[in-house]
Amino acid sequence: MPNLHDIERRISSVSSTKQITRTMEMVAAAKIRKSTERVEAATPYSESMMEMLGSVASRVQGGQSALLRKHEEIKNVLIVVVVSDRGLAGGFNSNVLRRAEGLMRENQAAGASCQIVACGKKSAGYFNYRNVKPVLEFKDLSADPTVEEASAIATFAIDGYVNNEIDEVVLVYNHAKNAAEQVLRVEQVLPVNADDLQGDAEGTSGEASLPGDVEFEPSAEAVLDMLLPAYVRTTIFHALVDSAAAEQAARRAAMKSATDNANEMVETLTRLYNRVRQGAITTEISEIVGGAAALEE
Amino acid sequence: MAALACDIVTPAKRLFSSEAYMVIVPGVEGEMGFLPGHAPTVSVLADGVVRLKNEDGSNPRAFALQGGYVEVTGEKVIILADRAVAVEDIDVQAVRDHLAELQDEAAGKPEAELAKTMLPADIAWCNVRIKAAEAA
Repeated sequence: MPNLHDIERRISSVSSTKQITRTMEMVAAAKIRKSTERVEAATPYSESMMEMLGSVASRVQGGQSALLRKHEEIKNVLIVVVVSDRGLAGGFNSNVLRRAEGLMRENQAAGASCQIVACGKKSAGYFNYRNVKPVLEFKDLSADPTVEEASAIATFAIDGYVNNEIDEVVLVYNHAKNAAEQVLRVEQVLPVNADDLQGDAEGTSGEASLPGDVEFEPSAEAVLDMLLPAYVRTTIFHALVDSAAAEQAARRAAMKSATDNANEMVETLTRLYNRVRQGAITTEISEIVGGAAALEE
Repeated sequence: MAALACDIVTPAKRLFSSEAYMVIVPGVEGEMGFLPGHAPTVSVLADGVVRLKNEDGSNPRAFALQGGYVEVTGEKVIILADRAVAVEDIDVQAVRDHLAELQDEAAGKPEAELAKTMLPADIAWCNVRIKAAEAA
């Protein structure tokens, strides 16, 4: 039987942890709003970009641009891993990291070497520990991703792809499906999938935003060549912003369940405390009664 | 009055969305002006200033812009800018100070290394803003 003092100490320790998790929950809940707003602010740009690119791509014969062309042999794969700088967000980071490592294994089994771009402290730590040196690292930006960060990744990926140093670029991140749910997404960024673009063009053609003849300046090919890198950059930026929103949502959910568990634990411990206390009193009384009876005899 | 719905969007946010009669943009092959009913066009933009006007010339607005694309249909202009800011929001002194800092930083680095950073683009962006603010 644990003694009263021990239980008391555990109750107070659990309640102070609860205070921390509850605060973190509320902070994350407040940040969700801000980060979802940022996703919404970034959406018009990427939508217009898709629309424009779709209409250009459908007018230009594909396979000419370096970014659309598939490399015949896949020898070098670049994996862009997007996670957070801080932990305490449930399975948020470990899901992405495990998936990224799985991808690495698959590619290595297929005879391709892998390079990692680590966004977020957690991924840098994870891969460094496993002796995989990320080619690019970004820290302290996961909560507030910048266009510059996305540009740096995109520039690196595009340069490598054009110079045949990289044959495929894959993005692994959490998509904030809604405030309560995150979905792990693996997207191929390069080569740009021409079929996707055509599909999107048809999808948006309901609006018929660019019907019939369109003038391109300087030329359709030139516009496409300029648009594709921007598209890659936009995709990466969108993933970063999306992941930031998902991070807050995941943290809120994780902290909420931690608070609930702490509550439950305090309740159980209080019950135990009362039982032990009552038991101690009962023993004491029976000792007194026993002692008194012994004296009377 | 016929008008063009004009949107200026950057990757971070929708900067501006309103109506204008005439939109002048810095195309890579020279400035282009759009009026309502313009033929559908897609163009790449250079660094420069986007200007908007009403039919009677009132309420002119200007935005400094670095790189981007414009898409025009008969009644709509969408400008996708890499970076953009309204000219009246430019604090020339602050931009100058920032430019000096960037140039100091860039001065010590070899060309090849410089190309990997965002510095050249940042410096160009400062110059665009200063020029735009002075022209206004």
